[in-house]
Amino acid sequence: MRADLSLQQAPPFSVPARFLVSAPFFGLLAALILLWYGPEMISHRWSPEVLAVTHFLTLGFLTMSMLGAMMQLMPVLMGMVFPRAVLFSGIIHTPLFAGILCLGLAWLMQIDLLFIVALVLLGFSFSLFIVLTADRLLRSANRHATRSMMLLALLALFFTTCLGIYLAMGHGTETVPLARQLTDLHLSWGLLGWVLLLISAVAYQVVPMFQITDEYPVIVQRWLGWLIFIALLSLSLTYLWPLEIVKTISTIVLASCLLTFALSTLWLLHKRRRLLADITMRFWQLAMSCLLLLTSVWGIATLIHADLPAFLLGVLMIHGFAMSTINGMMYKIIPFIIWLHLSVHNKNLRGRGERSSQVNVPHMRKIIPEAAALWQFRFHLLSLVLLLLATIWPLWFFYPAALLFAIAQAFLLFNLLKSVRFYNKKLAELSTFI
Amino acid sequence: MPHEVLLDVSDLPPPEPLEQTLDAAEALKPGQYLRMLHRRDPCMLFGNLDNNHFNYFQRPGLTSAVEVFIWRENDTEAETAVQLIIGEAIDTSR
Repeated sequence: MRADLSLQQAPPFSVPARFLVSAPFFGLLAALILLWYGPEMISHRWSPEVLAVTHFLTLGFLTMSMLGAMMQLMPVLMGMVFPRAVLFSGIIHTPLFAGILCLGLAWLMQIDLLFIVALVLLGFSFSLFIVLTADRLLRSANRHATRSMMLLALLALFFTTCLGIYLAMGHGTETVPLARQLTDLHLSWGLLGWVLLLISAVAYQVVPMFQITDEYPVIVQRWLGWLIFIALLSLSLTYLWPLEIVKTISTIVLASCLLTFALSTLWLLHKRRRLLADITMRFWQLAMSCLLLLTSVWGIATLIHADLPAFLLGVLMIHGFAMSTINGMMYKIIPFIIWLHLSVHNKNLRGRGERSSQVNVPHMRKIIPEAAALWQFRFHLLSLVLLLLATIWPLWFFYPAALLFAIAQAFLLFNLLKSVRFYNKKLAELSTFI
Repeated sequence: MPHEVLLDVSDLPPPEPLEQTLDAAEALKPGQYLRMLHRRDPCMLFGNLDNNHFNYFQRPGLTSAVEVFIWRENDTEAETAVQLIIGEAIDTSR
């Protein structure tokens, strides 16, 4: 006989699932745009196709899945409850999904009105999410470093959104000038603020929990996020008061933080208690190796004043670091919540004395088969290598890279949809009894 | 019959620590308590123990980061055995 399980504060399955499944859809869309427009689109950084692909990946894949993961993890890890979670997630997800599509189409089809529609939808979605989530975090009694890191990440998302809206107005209206000089600041707050801060906040919890490692050093947990945030603030101030020394120090601090996070994560994984490697660990190792490579290449190029291929650092940061991390975490989060929800439904049946009606809840590793996840990892890794080569020799590697990227994203979408279908099937079996 | 049932879940990935702890708790006989060793705070365990009418006490472990003592509500013999180990009265009025 087994004691019963309860969902605690965990939200309904549809809350995180709608965000997580949407992410590879946008990844696939980005890959198809690469295939459609060909290597000419990366002839310069500001091409509309490049901007569309970048935002399908940063908003569509990264931000979409990060919001879903936050809605799942905050209640479970930090004891916070979102009131009316299904309604809240729907109000956030729908305008976010539509807003990202509009933004991409605005660039691809050069329709100014779509920029305005996109910024209204995205502005609404992000404002609501930031205000409600920050409010919940500030009220939380939890004092884990993850809480303050999440607050800093939300603040970074706020700055990224404000800069993004201003830049989009420059694209979509004639009254606001296009402030291209703010683009680097926008992407710094987005990638080094919002994305890096949130990934490290979540890593402090999920790496020790799922990969069976020691905890991150206390000094890393306590100070890394603040250092990144302060360095980004200092960098921002140099746009108002151009002090070269402040810019240099901020850049060194940021690079040191990236190295510290990557090295401490790799060290923890190397010293893990359980030697059996799983697919999520491979993704973590790949992501952290990319972060190390990114920082080294960036540092060396800055020191010797060398020009890098325009998209090299972007590919390493977005595809190599951020997408790898999130892709890996999806293979833990989705099976875990499916296991949890099915186990709770079984419990409800037991509570009513209907044990014979229970469904068989498989082990977490069986919900998304290890072999399917491993093949998807191989396609992801190969697409990363080819994309990096394509930044140097686009004519040779662009199409193979885009094709492999499309396969990797389609494979991820397939794996996630299959697990959702499995959940719905089991739920249907249970529903006949509940 | 020994009072203590020892369960070390320190090297297990989620959800095995939760599953195994709930299974072991359910298998406790009168007078027995479960001493569960873990590498971190078990974030979903306590609500489940409350729902299933178990009492518990958590403290930093001697050989692991955390140890949790678990016994059935109203099992005074098991509670007394836990009190003897931890050396203090237990507040179970949650």
